[in-house]
Amino acid sequence: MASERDRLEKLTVVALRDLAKKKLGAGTSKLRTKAMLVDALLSGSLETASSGQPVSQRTPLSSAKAKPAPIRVTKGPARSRTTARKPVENAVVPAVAASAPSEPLLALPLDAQTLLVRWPASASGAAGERLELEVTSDGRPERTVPVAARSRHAYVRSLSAGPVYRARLVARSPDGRRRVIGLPSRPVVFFPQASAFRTAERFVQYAWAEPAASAQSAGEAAPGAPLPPDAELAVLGLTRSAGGSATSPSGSTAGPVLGWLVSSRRPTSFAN
Amino acid sequence: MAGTFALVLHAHLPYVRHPEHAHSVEEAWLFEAVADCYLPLLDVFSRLAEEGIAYRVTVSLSPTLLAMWSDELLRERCARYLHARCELGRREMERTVADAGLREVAAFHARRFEGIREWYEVRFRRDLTSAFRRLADGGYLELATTAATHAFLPILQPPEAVRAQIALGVRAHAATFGKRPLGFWLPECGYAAGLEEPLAAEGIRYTFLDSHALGEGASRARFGVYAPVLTESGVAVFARDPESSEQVWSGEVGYPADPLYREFHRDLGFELAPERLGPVLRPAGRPGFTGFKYHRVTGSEPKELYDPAAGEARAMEHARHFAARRLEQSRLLERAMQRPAAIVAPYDAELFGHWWFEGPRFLEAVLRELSQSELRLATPADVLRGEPLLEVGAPAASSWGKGGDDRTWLNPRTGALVHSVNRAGLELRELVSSFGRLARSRCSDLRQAARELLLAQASDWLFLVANQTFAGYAEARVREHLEAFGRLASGIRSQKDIAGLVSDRARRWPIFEMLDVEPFAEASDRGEGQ
Repeated sequence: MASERDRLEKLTVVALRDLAKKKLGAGTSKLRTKAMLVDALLSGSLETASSGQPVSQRTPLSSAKAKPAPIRVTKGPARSRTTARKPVENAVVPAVAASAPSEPLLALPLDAQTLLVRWPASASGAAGERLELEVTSDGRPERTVPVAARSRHAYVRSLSAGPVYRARLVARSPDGRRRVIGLPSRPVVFFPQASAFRTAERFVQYAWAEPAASAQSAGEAAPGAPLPPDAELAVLGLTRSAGGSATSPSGSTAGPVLGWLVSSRRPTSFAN
Repeated sequence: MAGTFALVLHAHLPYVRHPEHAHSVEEAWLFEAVADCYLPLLDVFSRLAEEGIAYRVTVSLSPTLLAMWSDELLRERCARYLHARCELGRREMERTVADAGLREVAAFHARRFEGIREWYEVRFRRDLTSAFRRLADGGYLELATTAATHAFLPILQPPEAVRAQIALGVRAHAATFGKRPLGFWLPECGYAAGLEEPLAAEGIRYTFLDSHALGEGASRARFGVYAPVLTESGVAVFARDPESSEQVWSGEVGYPADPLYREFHRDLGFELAPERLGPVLRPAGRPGFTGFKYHRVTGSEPKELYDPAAGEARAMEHARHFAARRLEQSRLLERAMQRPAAIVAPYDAELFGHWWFEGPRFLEAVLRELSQSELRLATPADVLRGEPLLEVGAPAASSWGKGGDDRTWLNPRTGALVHSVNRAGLELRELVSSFGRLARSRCSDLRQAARELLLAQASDWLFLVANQTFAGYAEARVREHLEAFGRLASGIRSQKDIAGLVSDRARRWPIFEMLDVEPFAEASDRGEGQ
């Protein structure tokens, strides 16, 4: 697919239009850009290029070279390229190579409740199969959305913050059998409700070290080293109550006062 | 021990340079900011230093802004911009001769632009970078940096792209100022878990986040936003004080909405006949801002004429009020916390002078007031040098945009652009890992591909598209850089000779000349842990 795309992208728009007329027949005039012409020729259909979003927002996904980027993948150790490509959740039902893209679905949180899922043009079902998008939440089924393969994207709305979502494309045969197409998306969490300030309930005495004089010394005096355990100090008498207040060594409560001082209102900025 | 007040100004503009046009509306963003904001701020900082006022301010300067300040073409055009305003000032003095009130405010602007031009050409010799460096060397300013092209990092992928934005921002700063920065401004205060790790790897000591990053209600940090929190990686985070922020930023209760202040939106460029403005002031015959704004906010229509003396007097009143509130706040906090409070007030530098015309004079008065008070003017590094006891914690994902999250930069209008940029990021990682070590001859090709990607990643483009302001330009810029990136990547993969394309593009957008592609490589290819 990549080489075919590369070959087509080297052609001029005029040549692509001629080719599209020969291959796809009438109706190619609505393919206004080179990307639309290439998409249509790759998919063998005019619908691919004309459906979905406005032209300015269309982004071809079918290059096999690039891997789609998940946004705010749940934090974990750095993975090598080999492990990053391994399917995680489709071990039971293997992917079918003939219609399966080699890259995971792209799942992109569009706002606090909406996930945009895109899949490459190479994802398709066999004759008679219906395509569905399955969304799991913390590993459990959350939503199944019927989709048209050629639309290549779907919005999954009204999701909530907190769980780890993952999307995958499945094909369902007329007798109800189900098989996973390609690789599921990487896990996605919504921003920022899935994250709150977390305290280790400990205090350390900060140790300042002046930076080295040289501008170019790469390993210069970084405070980046993890905090040594012996730097940790107990704060005498400071304990956090269930209500969020804290008691100082002298017994006065700081929490309610701070609660008043730390306004929860955020001003509307001119710039943002 | 006294509490501290840290004033932080973040100066940034996206990289805009259009030699192909005699006049560019987008380039004027820079010239307006130079005239309205950067030069007046430099004037304030320099005068205070000359008078021996002991002040400390943190200024973060973005690499794209530094690149534009040192660009000869843009310097020349900025001089032309100022010259044109001086000419307009002279013409306005003649035009308004019959109207004493109008003539007075016209004369004020004419004198102002003459003064600004003198600062630019004579006092600072067109070299704003050196002027900031001198103030930093003198111990008045602490200069910080930000992401290479100001990408909104929480939505940037892959992690190597984030690392590269941070590493190249730090290196650009070090190359410009001769020392590595201690502070890093996360663009738009955008934070997501893990961002502190690449900051620590670059030797960064502190960064700034919005207030809610340190929690709200019961889950807040022990001292709220009034003490830095130390992350496990060793980077300290300082959060924005909501009160000092609201007093300046709020459109409803903030100082800049005062009726005596100059009105931003009423500009001669939209009111005077084109023949009176001259072709220089109206590129392509379109109306545009001239900087000659004759009216005050007033609070109702019709707007009344601006009175510079009354505006300045009000700025002094507001400065005294602001300083008094910080003192009162510091005392209250110290009593409650039983330790000195660290109040941090970060703002966009471009607010002062550009949006809020009297802003630089307000800041000058605040610094004068506080320098004589028990509240200590400090930078975040000064606070940390005091080796305070810090809570260890993990900030919440946050930004200072609308809603406190990422919706300003990631939304239905920008989703496709974000996706395309991130795909290119993944592709560059693959290219650097595959070709970076194979052939040195490909280095310049990879570097140019990296430059194109960096330029496409700026948060400004997403902001403009989301807000439908210069959306066409912003989207075209992203697409242009990605299209060039695609051609370069294709050439690299097929091992073609693309030297011509590389040199054309490097000439077109001459930034990050000494760029190193190493940060874009996967961790395993950099010899780091898996």
